[in-house]
Amino acid sequence: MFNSFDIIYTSFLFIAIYIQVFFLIVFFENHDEISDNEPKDISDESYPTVTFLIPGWNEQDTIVATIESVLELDYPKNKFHIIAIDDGSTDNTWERMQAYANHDQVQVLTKENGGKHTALNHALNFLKTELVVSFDADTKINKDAMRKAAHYFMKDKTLMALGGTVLIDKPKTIAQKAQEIEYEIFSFTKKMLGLADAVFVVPGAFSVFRKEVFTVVGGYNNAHNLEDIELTIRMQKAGLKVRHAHDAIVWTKGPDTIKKLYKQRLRWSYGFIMNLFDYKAMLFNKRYKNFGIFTLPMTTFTYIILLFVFFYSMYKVVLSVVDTIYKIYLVGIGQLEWPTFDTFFINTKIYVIMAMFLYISIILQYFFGREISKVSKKNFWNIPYFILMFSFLAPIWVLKSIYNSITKKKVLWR
Amino acid sequence: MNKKRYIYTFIITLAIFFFSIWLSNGFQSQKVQSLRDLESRINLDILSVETRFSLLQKTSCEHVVTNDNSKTGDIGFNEDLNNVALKIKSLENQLGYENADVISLKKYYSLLQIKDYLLAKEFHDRCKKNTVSILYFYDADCQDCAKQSIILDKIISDYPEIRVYYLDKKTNNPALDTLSSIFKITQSPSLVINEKTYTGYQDIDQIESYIPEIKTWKALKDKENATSTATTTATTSKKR
Repeated sequence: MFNSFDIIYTSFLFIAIYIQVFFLIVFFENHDEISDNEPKDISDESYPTVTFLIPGWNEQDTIVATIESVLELDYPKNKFHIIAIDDGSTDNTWERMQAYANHDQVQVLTKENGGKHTALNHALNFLKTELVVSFDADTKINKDAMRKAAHYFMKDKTLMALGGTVLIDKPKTIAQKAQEIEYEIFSFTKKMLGLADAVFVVPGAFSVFRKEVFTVVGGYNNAHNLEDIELTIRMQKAGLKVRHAHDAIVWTKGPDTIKKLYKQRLRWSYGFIMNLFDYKAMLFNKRYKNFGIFTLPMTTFTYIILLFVFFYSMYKVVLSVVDTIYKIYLVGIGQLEWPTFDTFFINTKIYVIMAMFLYISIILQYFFGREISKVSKKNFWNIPYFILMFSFLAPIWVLKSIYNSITKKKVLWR
Repeated sequence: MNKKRYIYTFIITLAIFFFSIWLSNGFQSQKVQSLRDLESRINLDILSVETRFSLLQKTSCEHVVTNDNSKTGDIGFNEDLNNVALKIKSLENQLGYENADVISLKKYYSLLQIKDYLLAKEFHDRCKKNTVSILYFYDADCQDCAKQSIILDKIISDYPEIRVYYLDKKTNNPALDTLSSIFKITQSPSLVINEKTYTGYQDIDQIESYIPEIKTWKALKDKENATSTATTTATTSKKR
């Protein structure tokens, strides 16, 4: 009755449900902080000064809209600046940036191509404000986002870094629609991680730091092309206070084709594995508190269970295909008829029931994420795209990233 | 670090886990019970037909048709019993081969099959009806049995007049043992067609050769198809 597969699957599901329950508990414990507690009557003067760092490589199509979007912020004009950095683009990005060279809120820099982290580090040299914002060149920002973000820093002097909420702007393709749902779920999980002092990553698309952060942990590293995760790891390692703002929202288009999405996620996956390897000492290490005990293991585990479910499903599919081919070989095709549906045949083993709980909790996260970030656009018909993407595409990029990380290791050792 | 939170989470997850076990067991018992009810109902139907047979002195065969499955003017427990067979197989996958409920359900099913076989035989003898019965003795782990089952499924769907009784030799069933020894069954798979035993795997051509009635049915079917195409061409030509 209980074979080894059953036991493994059930244990994995137990851990997965544990993670979901953890998030839900954090949610219910902190329901007050999440609901609106807008501070009233703050003078413009009391707001901190901010610099937006916008690095760009070949972003000629979006850089102007991005800079305009930031300039339109509802934030005291004398309190925020932009530093736009062209990282040796081969298109007209630098020309487009230069149009703002004489704007009193904008400073434009150019340099030889070296990667996003070099652009950011270069700009940090010119930093004069209290806060600094890492911002992507293809992102639009809500008018109130910077004010909302600033409130966190003003209320809490010990807060050092704040991740913003990223959502998908007007998704058109299947890939974008799947991401739309995914990012709404992220809004929930990231906020919960923030409340639990267990932030996994402050996203490079929009995160706010006190300038002291870079004095304490240093500037950005290449970090296998995942500089935002690696910076967060270093901040967590140094014990800095990192949180997430569910109400400071920016919008990005997201990769439009499945191929581009795959490439992006492959980079993220590979980057995560390599960084995990670099910082493996932090895994389950009590010294790094919630980040070490919960966050890192949790993220690693999601990769493991994803692969497990994928392999098992493939195994079942292959078995049934082989079965059907054998049948056709023996007796020819005429046999195929739809079996009548009888609820009797629904699998009710324990792991099926637990998997149901898991799916329900993820759907709940989708609704809660929308609630806390106040998303009103109805899009639950995109959920099937999200499910398809994660069931079929995700295992492929995870497998490829594992393969890449193993072979790359081989290269290094030579 | 909030240790308490981790502990609460564990407790709640454990509660969900036990709740899932409870739910799962609930569903399994429900399935077992519904299958038992189904088997009892079939038994009742069989009993009723047997009683009517005993009551009737003469061969009043027209009065004995019980189901809507009377295409061939036959007693039809076949569909119900097939339904039971599928459900038992599903329960076997979920609860395991050694499960006590599964074993007792299989025993009951075997008996019902044998009763059905005897009833069909009597019906055939008394009413000179067109049924052909195949007794199929198999084992869960024998190599050729999977192949044989597939062949037999095809035969059933091609010729509804043929009844196949799937008998699992491993079921601890004295009636089945008696049947086995009557037909001198030695290995799996074995077929008994029209009271003759055939040992080992038989392919579709071999089986068709053992059943002479098939030729007549095929001829009849071809005649039917010919006339129906003739009528359709007639009607279409009329329409013009």
